[in-house]
Amino acid sequence: MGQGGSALKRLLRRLRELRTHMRAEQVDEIARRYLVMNAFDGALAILSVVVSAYFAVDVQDPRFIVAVGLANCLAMGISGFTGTFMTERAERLRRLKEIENLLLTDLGDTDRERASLLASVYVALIDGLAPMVAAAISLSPFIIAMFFPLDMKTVVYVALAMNMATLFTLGAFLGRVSKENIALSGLKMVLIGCGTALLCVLLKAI
Amino acid sequence: MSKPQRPQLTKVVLDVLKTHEPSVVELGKLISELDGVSHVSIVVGEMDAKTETIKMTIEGINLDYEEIERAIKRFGATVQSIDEVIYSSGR
Repeated sequence: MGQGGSALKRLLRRLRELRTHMRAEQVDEIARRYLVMNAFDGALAILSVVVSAYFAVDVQDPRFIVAVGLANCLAMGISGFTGTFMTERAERLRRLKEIENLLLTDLGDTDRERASLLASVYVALIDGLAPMVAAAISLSPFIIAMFFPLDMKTVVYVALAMNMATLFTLGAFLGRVSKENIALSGLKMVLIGCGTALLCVLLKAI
Repeated sequence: MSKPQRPQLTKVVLDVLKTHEPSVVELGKLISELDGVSHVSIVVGEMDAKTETIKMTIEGINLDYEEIERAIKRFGATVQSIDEVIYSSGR
């Protein structure tokens, strides 16, 4: 227990030290920005898939919407993770080199260097997972409909309601961050969603 | 006759160059958690747009200078000079 306890204490101390450097890298603020931005992307992308598939093309098979939706999720996740990781890594490496020049030292094998890599991975994970999670929420009624015989119209309306709830939550979160009216901020996002859905329905005219 | 004790490092004053972030509070906390350290005092000296020079006084019993220097380097700062050292022989 004594040895295990001190090893755990050391590990916790190291994690705290790394967290300190991650805070200095302003990771939380960047991650928050990516979270909302990309979850919004994911929610709108699935909204357009559902609305255009059901209202414009009259798809009745939930498997079709799930297949297209999941492919969309995956593409957004991969693009989000890799794109953000490469961009963040490049930016952070540039900053690390700047600091090395200022301090006239090599920062390799320091917490600063480790935190810089961790920050890039963390932010990229948020960027990759946010649209996938947002999209999966709206797809969940269709996934259930694949296994249980449900009325497609009901499933579509439940999915749309969940999508609007996701958009409202994202808007409310932004409202809380900016310390403004949470409900109004949420409603703005829902309005953007309704506008997007309307444009997708208009595709039927083509 | 008792065996003479080995001299122990009890105080070291360092001139350290670091970036503004993470702050001196974080560096002070890190050093104070090292073995043998009982007091850490940091005074900020020169400051420019991105870096600051600090005077760091570390006191304690049987301090391990190599460990202190390693911790400062791991933190991402550099020791510019050792300005004062006190060894105590315990006699």
